[in-house]
Amino acid sequence: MGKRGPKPQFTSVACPNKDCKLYGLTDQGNVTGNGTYTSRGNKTRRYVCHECGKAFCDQTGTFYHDLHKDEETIDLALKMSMKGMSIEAIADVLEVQSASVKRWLACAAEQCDKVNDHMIKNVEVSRVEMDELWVIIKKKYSHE
Amino acid sequence: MKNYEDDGQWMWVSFAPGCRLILDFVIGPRKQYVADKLVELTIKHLSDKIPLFVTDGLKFYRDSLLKQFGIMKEFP
Repeated sequence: MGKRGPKPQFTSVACPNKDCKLYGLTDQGNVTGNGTYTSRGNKTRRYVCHECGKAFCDQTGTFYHDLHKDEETIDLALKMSMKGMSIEAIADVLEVQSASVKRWLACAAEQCDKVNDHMIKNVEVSRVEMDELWVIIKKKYSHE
Repeated sequence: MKNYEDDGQWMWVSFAPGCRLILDFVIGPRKQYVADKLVELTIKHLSDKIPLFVTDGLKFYRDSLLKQFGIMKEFP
């Protein structure tokens, strides 16, 4: 006979708390659902880890966590920035404050750094080249 | 563009041409501390094997690499 009671849910969800013993481990039975809430028009599930007692949601640890604007708008702002549009122009097009765009860019850069550090490890190469490229930062000052 | 040669900000890049991978970059002036930072960040991504470092000959790289990998040996 199988185990009695309801089947365990959320077995693919891992605790994002780095101090937790079961951090990053899935299928340990430590994570259960803790209700849902509506954020930016979408239903977001909350979870609780019974090992460390911390609650978290689907977006915890992601770039979108704690950002109020919807994901599509933020993605669009980042794409526009990558294509070379100024922060003011992006803010104008998306009808948001330029401070918000700046904050999204800063968050994205921080997250990219984390991903980079995580992905590029133990690289075995025979040759590394190092060089400097002149970049225009603070255009105004360089023209003075 | 008057002060093109040395003044202003530079993007210091370290890359692995074998796999076309940018390992890391630092933005800063042409100063020793920026070279130190770049070398330090680059080493974090590498395995224990020390690769061949190829540069444009800027002396800051030599000093940074010596700081990281150099071993002082004194002969009697």
